[in-house]
Amino acid sequence: MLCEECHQNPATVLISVLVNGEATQRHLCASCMQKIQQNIAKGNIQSFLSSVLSSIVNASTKENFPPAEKNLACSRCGLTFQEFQKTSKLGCSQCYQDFREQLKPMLLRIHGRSQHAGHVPYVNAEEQEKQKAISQLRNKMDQAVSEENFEEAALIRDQLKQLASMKEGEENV
Amino acid sequence: MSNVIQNDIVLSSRVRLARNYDDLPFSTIHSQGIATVCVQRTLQALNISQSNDEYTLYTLRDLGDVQKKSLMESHLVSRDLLQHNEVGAALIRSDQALSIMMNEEDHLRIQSIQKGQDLPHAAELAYLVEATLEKQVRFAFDNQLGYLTACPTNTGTGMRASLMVHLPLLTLFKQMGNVGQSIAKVGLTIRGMYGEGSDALGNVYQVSNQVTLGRTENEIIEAVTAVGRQLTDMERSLRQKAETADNMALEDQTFRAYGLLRYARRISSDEFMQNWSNVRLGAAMGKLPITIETADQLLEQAQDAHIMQWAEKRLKGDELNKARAARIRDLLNNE
Repeated sequence: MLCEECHQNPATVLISVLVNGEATQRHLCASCMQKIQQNIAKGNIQSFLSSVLSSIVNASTKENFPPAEKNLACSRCGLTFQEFQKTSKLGCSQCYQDFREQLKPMLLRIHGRSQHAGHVPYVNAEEQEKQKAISQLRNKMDQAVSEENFEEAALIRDQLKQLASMKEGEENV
Repeated sequence: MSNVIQNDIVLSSRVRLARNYDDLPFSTIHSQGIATVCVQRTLQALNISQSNDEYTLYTLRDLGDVQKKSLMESHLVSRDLLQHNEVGAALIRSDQALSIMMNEEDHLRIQSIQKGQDLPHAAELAYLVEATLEKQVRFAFDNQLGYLTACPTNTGTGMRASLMVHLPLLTLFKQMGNVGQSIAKVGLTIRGMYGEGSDALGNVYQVSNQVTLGRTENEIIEAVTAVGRQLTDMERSLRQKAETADNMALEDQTFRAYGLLRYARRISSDEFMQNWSNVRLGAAMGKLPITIETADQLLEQAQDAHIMQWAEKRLKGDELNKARAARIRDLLNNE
């Protein structure tokens, strides 16, 4: 295994660090270990800590991403998933669709939840209301048919037609 | 829940909404051409041609360093926006209560600031602008993930609600570590005066929500407000204890700081911030002959870029420190 600090020499030393009650291990080469010891001796433990912390962040991010195809890329902006892993920044709204499976655990880790509960755009809100009304009417119509109440079923069918034509009409505007 | 403005501890309330145009690539990879489209589209949707009486358009690459830094010192633009110098722009309302940053990490960052503790009002203002825009444009939105942002940490409501709080006693009694840990447990975070990665100069901190997905806007605002109220109670109780234990020491400390700011002939930014903290504490506790409003005005006006704008020239080192002392004397003498 290579040293996790310089990624060049073979790792020969294993150190354990306790951060927030969680033990993290780092594999280092003799030369990087010596540098760290010198830094600590000089009282400069900031650089050491930041390298440990970044390794924890990287490790946890790596662990949490489900395996992605090697060349997984956004179909619209071309950003690859590997590029996203480096910068943590997405390229466009389509990235969320194309990397949906990979992003799921990360979003859950950051936010603890995975379903939006807040404000909805005006257009979407209207559309959602309409979809809800349509599905309610469909259920009603199915029930009327199953009860052989065909007159009511026909009325509901007309209402559904009206709703559907409203939708088309709006889209043509 | 009362919305009484409590400005002895809470300096200001801020709400910012991250939004992206659905059909354009995010700012992280887009070009100068798209950045221009983004600005034009925003102006058009708000029915603003360029600058008018109500809004002023600031295009970063046309501004000098001092002016840019001054906007940041006033919290009208973020430090991140200044990193996007070639494409960044901001529309700022004349009363400075609203600013719309463009081409930062996201296409739009709609930001609303109110004095004291008043997050509900700040949110209301930000959502009014958002609603005006939304009638004209389509933002990137997903039924499951909410508003889509360049960084997944902002996805969902895209909302960051924050309070700027002055906590000198909690800092003095080394309670900020504990505060940070407890706050993290409820999905909030505490940072320095200029947000992420900045120091808590003058014992001024920003408390804000970390989590943006899966909570409603009201839940977020209530959570941040509740923590603000808790911090206010804790800080007030420590202030009262200090007053009861040794009022003379407290008065001595605040009057000394006041005297120093009032009569110094040169003062560095660090020395100003240390003494400002004691002066604001004294003003908030009614010890000093200065109002909280003047103390808060000082905090903004004594920063480097504001001093240079006041002096109408670029200054550094000793010259800047002399001008700072003069400006502070000026503001305190007019009190």
